[in-house]
Amino acid sequence: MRALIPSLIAAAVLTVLLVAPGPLSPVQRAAAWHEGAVKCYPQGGPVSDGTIAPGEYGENFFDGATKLLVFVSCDRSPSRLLHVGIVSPWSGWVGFLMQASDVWNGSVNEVRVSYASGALQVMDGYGNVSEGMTTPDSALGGSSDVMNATTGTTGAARVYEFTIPLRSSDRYDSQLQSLGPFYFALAYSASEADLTMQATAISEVHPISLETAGTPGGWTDLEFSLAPSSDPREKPTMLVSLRDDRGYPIPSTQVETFVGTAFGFFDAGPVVTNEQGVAQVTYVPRGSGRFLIGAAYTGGLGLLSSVAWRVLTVGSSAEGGDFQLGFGDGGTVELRPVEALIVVAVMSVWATYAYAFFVVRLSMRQPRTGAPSRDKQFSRWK
Amino acid sequence: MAGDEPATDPVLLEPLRRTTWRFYGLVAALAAVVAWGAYAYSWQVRNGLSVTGLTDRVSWGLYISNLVFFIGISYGGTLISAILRIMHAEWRRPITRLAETTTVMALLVAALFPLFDLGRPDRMQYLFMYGRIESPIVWDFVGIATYLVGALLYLYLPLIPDLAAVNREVRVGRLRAFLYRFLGRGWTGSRAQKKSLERAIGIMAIAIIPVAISVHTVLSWIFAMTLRVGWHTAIFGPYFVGGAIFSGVATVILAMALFRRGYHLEKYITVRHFRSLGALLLVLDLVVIYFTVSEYLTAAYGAESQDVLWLQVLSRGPYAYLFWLMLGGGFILPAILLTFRRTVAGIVVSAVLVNVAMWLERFLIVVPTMMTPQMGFSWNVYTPTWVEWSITAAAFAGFALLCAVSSKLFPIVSMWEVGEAAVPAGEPQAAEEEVTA
Repeated sequence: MRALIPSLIAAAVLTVLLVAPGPLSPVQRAAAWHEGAVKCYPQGGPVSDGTIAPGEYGENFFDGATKLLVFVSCDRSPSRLLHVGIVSPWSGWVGFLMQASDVWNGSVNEVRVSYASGALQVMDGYGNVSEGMTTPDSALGGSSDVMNATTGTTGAARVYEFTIPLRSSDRYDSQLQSLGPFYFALAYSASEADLTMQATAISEVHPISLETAGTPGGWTDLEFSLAPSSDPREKPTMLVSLRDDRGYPIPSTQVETFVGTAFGFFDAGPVVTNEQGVAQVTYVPRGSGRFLIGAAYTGGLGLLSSVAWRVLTVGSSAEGGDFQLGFGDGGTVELRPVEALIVVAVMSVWATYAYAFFVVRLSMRQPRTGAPSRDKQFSRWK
Repeated sequence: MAGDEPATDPVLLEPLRRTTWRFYGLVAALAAVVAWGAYAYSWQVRNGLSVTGLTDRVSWGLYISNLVFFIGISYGGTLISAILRIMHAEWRRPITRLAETTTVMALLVAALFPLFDLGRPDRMQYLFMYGRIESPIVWDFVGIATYLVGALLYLYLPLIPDLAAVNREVRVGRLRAFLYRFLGRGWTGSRAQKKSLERAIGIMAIAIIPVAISVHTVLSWIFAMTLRVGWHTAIFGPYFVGGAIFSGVATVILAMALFRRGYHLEKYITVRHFRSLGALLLVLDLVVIYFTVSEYLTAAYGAESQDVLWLQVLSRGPYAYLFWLMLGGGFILPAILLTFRRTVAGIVVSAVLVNVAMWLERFLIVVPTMMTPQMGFSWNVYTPTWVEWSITAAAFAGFALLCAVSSKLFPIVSMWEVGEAAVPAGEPQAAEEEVTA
């Protein structure tokens, strides 16, 4: 009888949990959110010039994990060319990984590009989506068939454009001859331009389908600017302006913001545009320096994603403490000594807990019955 | 070895062996209140925070008051146990388990209130996604989590020898037997094990004190780091810590009185324990009165317009009766009782008054301050709705329920520590004579 009561209570709780209408039913997602499925619309081939212009690509996708914005466009040429453009805030290499879904087993074709010392480097490779390493096709006995690779800049970010022939003669790219759908992922190295280096991170795998018809997404443009201030010592307020291809503001839309830190990009949270398509971002500087800041609109409602990357230069108080938005390489927000000390203190407390716990648990360890003691094992070994 | 362990006093094991219908009735009543609170919360989740009295002006109400109160009462347990253990106060032995249990249970209840205060609890994840190390909310989360784990460990370690004893001496069902075996597995009571255990408990006793102090200080900073009249003051850290120990000691006294009566523990929890903690309560009462006078006098003397407004809300506003009740009934009256009426009954009544006053103090810190307009806005009076009162009642019932259930699972008096005492833990059946100063 006693054992029955807890069982009945457990069954009742389980029943309530399973049957009762869920007050925590998932909230419907905002409409302006790209679900990750990308359609490659047939268009004329974009101009591979290191600049992505309005209307050049019909579809794009912003990946929140890697902070890469990738544009895709297809054409109906015999080689079935896939045009790719990538906007990257990273100084290291970036990679575009792709494989046909019908042969999907984690192995992917990967194109890596980087820019260092004034030279663009390209590698056509073959690797595994979970490993972050790739081997050049040429080293496997194949050949590199990536076409029209170029690079340029937009704001504080680098733009790469290249073309992948899906009907390639290279046997290591032969699986791309499938009619699709495909899977793709994005990878990057935060600081290494050497294309053979391990990836810092790889995005999730997303589906991409080649469409024979359809309406490409509308172009959007995101711009950073500094709000005018009468006092240069005030904290800088930046304005993020979101507009469509006709220059009209896109109101009531969520824009994600980021700040480069020692641990990668810090998601500073979403801001929402007003009727003029402008959202405010306030940054309280903790010291002087150059900080890479970014904003991303993730698309939706027939509109393409867009990003803006800028470097915020904060002058020291001796120089007047003024702020400037610019381009070039951005620094990162480092962990300050006080914060590092707090982290160390908290970790020390947890380490003390662990020590106290294991001191007792180790004294309570019982030898397995029948297992020889360490002394016996030692004498047997001798 | 296990066979060499001395037999345990049956009085200590009796609550684990036998459960009366009165206890079942109590548990059922408490569980019913908790269930009603769960229903109220589900109503709030379905309909949003509009079913509460919270507004954009007074966005923290009963929930945050309860959070501060429950964190506060969790305080006394840890400090009584840890400080007295470090000081080798022998009389502490019968009450340490009780104190540690109230700490853990109060913390478990307190940790729920930030969730209740969120209109969208699914957004709790934002704390991890967008949390910034500069934010007092993040400090608070880290602090409470660290304190909770430490308190659980500090409760568990001294429990190990008793788990082995209970497993040996009490016939229990399979589930409980498994629980005791699992938690106390490997304990033989050897000298080496006892030495390791004493060492670990000593380390934890030292570690848990700064953690406990930092948790309540950080909790006070959620208010004090805000540029709001009545909150933005340097006294808040020590004021919160002092108040927390004050209410924590009062809670331990209440728990002692209830378990002593319910489980006939007069032999272990003696008049001496009440008098010692009563004296501590009196000292803390004076400390809190000092802090309170210091805070209000400073604001009144400066007579800044915002400060004057805030003091008027407190002393003559809609919650003025609570303010004067707190000062007179919760601070002054207990001081008189603890000075002139040091019987068990007098000390317990003082403890009840102190806890009521400390809850009122938390409420008065949160609500009237938020009501005071910082800009040219109109005033806003906060009136809690049935949802908030139901969840508050459920929290108190849940705390009592957790303590009651815990006393049926684990010995409420640390049997091995009492057994190891060189002298009897308390006075032998001291008569409860009234001592009048």
